[in-house]
Parts: sequence; structure tokens; C-alpha cells
Amino acid sequence: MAVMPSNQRFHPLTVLFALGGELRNFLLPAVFATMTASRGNSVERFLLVFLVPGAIAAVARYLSSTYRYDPTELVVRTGIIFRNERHIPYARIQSVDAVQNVLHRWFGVVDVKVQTGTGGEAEATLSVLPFSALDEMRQRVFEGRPSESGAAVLTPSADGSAAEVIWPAPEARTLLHLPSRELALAGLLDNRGWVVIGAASGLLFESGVIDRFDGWDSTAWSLYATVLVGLFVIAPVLSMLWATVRLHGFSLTRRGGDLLVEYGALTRVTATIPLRRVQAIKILRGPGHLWTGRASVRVETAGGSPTGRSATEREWIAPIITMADLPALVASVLPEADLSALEWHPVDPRGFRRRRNRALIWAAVMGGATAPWLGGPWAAGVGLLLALWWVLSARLYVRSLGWARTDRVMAFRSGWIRRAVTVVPLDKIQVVDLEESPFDRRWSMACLRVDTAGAGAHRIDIPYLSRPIAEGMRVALAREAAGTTFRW
Amino acid sequence: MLPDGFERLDPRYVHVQQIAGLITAGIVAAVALLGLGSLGLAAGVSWMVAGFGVGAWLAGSALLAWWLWIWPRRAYAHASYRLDPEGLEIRRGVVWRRVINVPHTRVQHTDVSQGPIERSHGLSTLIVHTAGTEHAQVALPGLSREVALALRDQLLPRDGRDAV
Repeated sequence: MAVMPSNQRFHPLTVLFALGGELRNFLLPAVFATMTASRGNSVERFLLVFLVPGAIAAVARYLSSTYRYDPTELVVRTGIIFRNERHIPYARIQSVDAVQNVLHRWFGVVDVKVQTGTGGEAEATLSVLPFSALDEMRQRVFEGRPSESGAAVLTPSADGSAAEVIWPAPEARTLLHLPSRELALAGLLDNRGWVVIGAASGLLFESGVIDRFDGWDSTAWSLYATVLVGLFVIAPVLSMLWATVRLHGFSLTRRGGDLLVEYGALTRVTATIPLRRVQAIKILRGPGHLWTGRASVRVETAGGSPTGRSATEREWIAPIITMADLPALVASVLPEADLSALEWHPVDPRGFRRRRNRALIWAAVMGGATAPWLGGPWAAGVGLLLALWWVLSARLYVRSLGWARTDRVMAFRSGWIRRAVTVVPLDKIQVVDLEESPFDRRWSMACLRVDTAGAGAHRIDIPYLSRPIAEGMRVALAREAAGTTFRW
Repeated sequence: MLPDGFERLDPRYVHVQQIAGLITAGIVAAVALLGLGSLGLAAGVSWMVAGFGVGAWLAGSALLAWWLWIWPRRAYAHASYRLDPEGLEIRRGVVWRRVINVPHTRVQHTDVSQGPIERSHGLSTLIVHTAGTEHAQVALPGLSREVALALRDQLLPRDGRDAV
């Protein structure tokens, strides 16, 4: 680059938003102080004590934070006393995410998170930048990846369009756009309304409203019943509303080698996922999804937290999609994963017998344990019911287990109430691991696990495989992984 | 006997683990004695109960020490590794058995570390870091220092090109 790169400051409103964040942290203590204070001026003093240092810190942070684009890396400098200069090579950047809440949009600024493969926090949080700076950053970061054009050539698109090989200035292709009706359905199937109700009741409890009730009034059962039924009606409605607002205008676009996810009515989220960073694709279906012929799809990128919960929701590439559109979507994200070509193999049928035996033993234990309270006949009934249910679910669960392997991908499916399918490209396999419990050895079985850089909630962890099959697969997968080069 | 190409860990590792086991047993016994003793004093138990408690403590500590003394030998018999052109394969576990394959191409970086007991016996632990989640690091303890360093050198990326 001929021109010397210059340091750029964030948007001046950074100070305001930092202060806002600070204020939000102190809002609860402040409210508490208001309630407990006898005179008003103590609240003012309280705010002064906490806000003035906060404001000074925010201004100092704003003045000391700069970023610049070097030819191959993004450089972010922060800190006044302990100065920190972070160099992030463009080639290592996993994603550039942008979040705009209502206030951000009002002022035309944006909260930018730059992430690389390490887990946990984002590598650089540029909060806040002018909106125009986001486009510039995207351009710089994506142009600065020398290998990207090569990757774009290597990944043929589903329809083989020539646009995929041209880089930069690739053509955008919309893969999925969800209307409000679908989003409402997604909300209904997710049923997050209970979370809202739980939070609200927690708040009521905290604020002492609940305390005004004089205990449990047994004559008012009809009132309680009404409230309960009301909750069952309100929860789904809330879920639907929440999903429609939060995911408003959800669109998934493919531009060159990147996936672009955009959604949100109030808080606008824009996320980019480089396709070659996709470690695994997961298709999840609950009972509602089965009923309505829908599925939800997510991708795992490197740096997901090992606890199974992802730090952000940017990996949902389709909160809801019809089964008819599913294969095309999967193919355009992971061309090597042709869902229709997967040949599913069941696990060892003896797995059911193992699970059934365990269920029967536990049912007997439960029946025996409840006998002193319930008396013989009732306890026997409990044991029998439990045995029936557990044996039935064992049957359905073992039947739901399955694996498939092609020369490009490994897939695993499990679950009968909530079904999950995970597809991992063989070149994304990190470690292969075979486990035998004492029970496994008695039945000559084993459990095969495949570890990837982005293992989320459902990973490849196949139980009840007969030993020779598991052993053969372990050797084959390890060989396959050794023969390919892993690229983040 | 061992399958083709597999190596056992260094026999001195058994001793290292036995020493570590005795130290663990000693700490557990001391904590238990402190807990039981203060409990007994606070409750003012009779001589008979106290004698019974001391007996139980002695028996429990001895059992723990004995178990931690014999277990490393059994674990040693079930642990082996192999480094071939495809990568590192580790087998271990007496009751729950595990086979871990780390392909050569997936090694991000390696550590060779030594604890104080290991150092006094000339042993090292090889730690292989991958980009995985569950197996972000795979540890192979119980190698002599020379073997650990040799394995490390063989596991480092060969072509010198950045695979990432």
C-alpha cells in the first residue's frame, strides 16, 4: 500500500454509548437507592459518585482507542496507562458482525465485533463506528484475504454459476428470506414465551407484588385455573410476537465465499460467516417442526464455547425452513453435503436391549422405593407405568440413532422428540475418539466420537455401535482427516 | 502383547504416579483427621466412639493409599501410544477404555511439560493442541524426556507451511 495507513478514531458517540452502558449497570442500584433514600439529594450524590468517574473513563477510552488498516492486518490500539496494540490478520478473521439497536440506528452508528477462531469473547469490539465505516471494514477485511479468491474457486456453487469464481465484487444471491408469517411460526415452535413469563414473574416476586396475596386461597381455584389457562394462551402469543420482532426481515444471502445473515426490527443484526469456516451444519426438528413440515438449521463455526451454548445467535442460518427447501439450502452452504445422498445406517439393534434392561431395573427400583408410602399395588402400578414409558422411549430413541458416511462428510442423527442431524465435512474433523464403558465391553460395543473446532450442543457422538464397525470407522476417519489439510 | 507399532509408557511413570497417589492419600487423610477430630471434640464423644472413629480413619486411609498404590500399575498395563505417518494414537483406561486419534495434519502446537515429581524421575508430559473443542488439548503423560522431545519434533508441522 503506497499510502501510509492512518489511525482512525471511533465515532464520537462512543462516549455517549459507553456512558449509557455504564448507566444501565448502575440503574438497578440507583433505583434501589431511590426507594431506600429518605431525601432526594442522596440519589443525586449517588449518581454523581458513580457517573462522573464513568464519564471521565469513557472520554479517555474514546480518545485513546484507534484502529487502522495495515496491508495484511487490522490493528486496534486501546488503553491509556496499559497500552495495548492488537494485530488481527485479515486471513484469520472469522466474521465481522454488526449490531444496531434502536439508538444506534437513530444516530447512524453501529457496534462492530471482529471475531477469529479463539473461543469466548470477540477479538475486537469496535463500539461504536459510523455506519459508513462498517462497509469500509468489510471491504478491507475481505479484500485483504489473499486466499479467499482461491477458496471461492474451489467451492463450486450449487447451480454452478460463474459468479462464484469472481473475486472481489461477487454477486449476492439470496438463499432464504423469511416473511413474518414464517417467523411467527418459528416463534410458536420455539415457544420462548415461557422465558418471558418466567422473567416477569421473577420480577413481580422481587418487587413484592406477590407478597400482597395472603397465601394460597383454596376457594379461588377458578381464578388460578384462569390464570394458568391464560398463561398457556399468552406464552405462545408472546413467543410469536417476540420472534417476529427480533427476527424481522430475516434474510440469508450468499456473497462470494461468505454467508450474510441480516435480521431484526429494533436491533438490527448483520453477520458474515465465511463459508470455509463452517465446521458443521445442524438440522434441528422439534415435535412442532415435524407437525408443520419445518426444520431449523444452524452452522457451527470455530470458536463456539465448549459448554455447548454459542456466544451469539449468528449461527442460526435458518430459524425455520420448509422441508422442501432444506436440501437446496444445505447444498448451497455445504456443497459436499447432499442430504438425499446420505445413506443412513442404524446403530446395533442390541442397543435397545441394553437400554431396556436398564429401564426395567430402574423401574423396579422406583417401584420398590415408593412401596412404603404408596403400598404394594400402587407402587407396582408406578413401576409398571415407568417401565412401559421407559421401554417405549428406549425403543424410539435407539431407532432414531443413525450415522452416514460419504467420501466427503460424516453425519449423525439422534433424538425422537427433538430430532437433530449433524453433518461434518471430513476435512473439518480434528480428533477421533473411541470409548468403551464396561457395559460396552460386555456387549462388544463402542461409542465413537468426532471432535471439530465448532462443536455445539449436538456433536457426533454415536453410542451403541458394534465394536468392529466403530473400530473400522475410527481408523478410516483418522486416515481421512490425516490426508486433508485443515483450513480454519 | 502390544499391537503392532505401539509403545508402552516409561516404566518409571508407575512410580511417579504412586508417589503422587501417596501424597494425595496423605492430604485426604490429614483433612479427614482434622474434620473428624474437631467434630468429635465438639460433640464430646465417648472413648469408645472415639476409638471406633480412629480405627475407621486408619482403615480408610490405608485402603485409599493401597488403592492409589496398586492402580498405577494396572493403568500402566492399559496405556500405550503409537506415532505413525497419519498421526498420534493414544490408548488408555482400565475400566472406561479410550482410543484417541490425533491426525498429524491437525496438530496446532505442542507442549512438553514437567511437574516436580516427573522432573525428579526424568519424565515429561507431551501435550498436543488441536483446534478441537473437547480435545482442544490431548495430553500424553509418562514419557521419558528424550522420547517426549523426539515425539514433539516429529509432530511439528513438517512442510513449514501455515496450514491455517
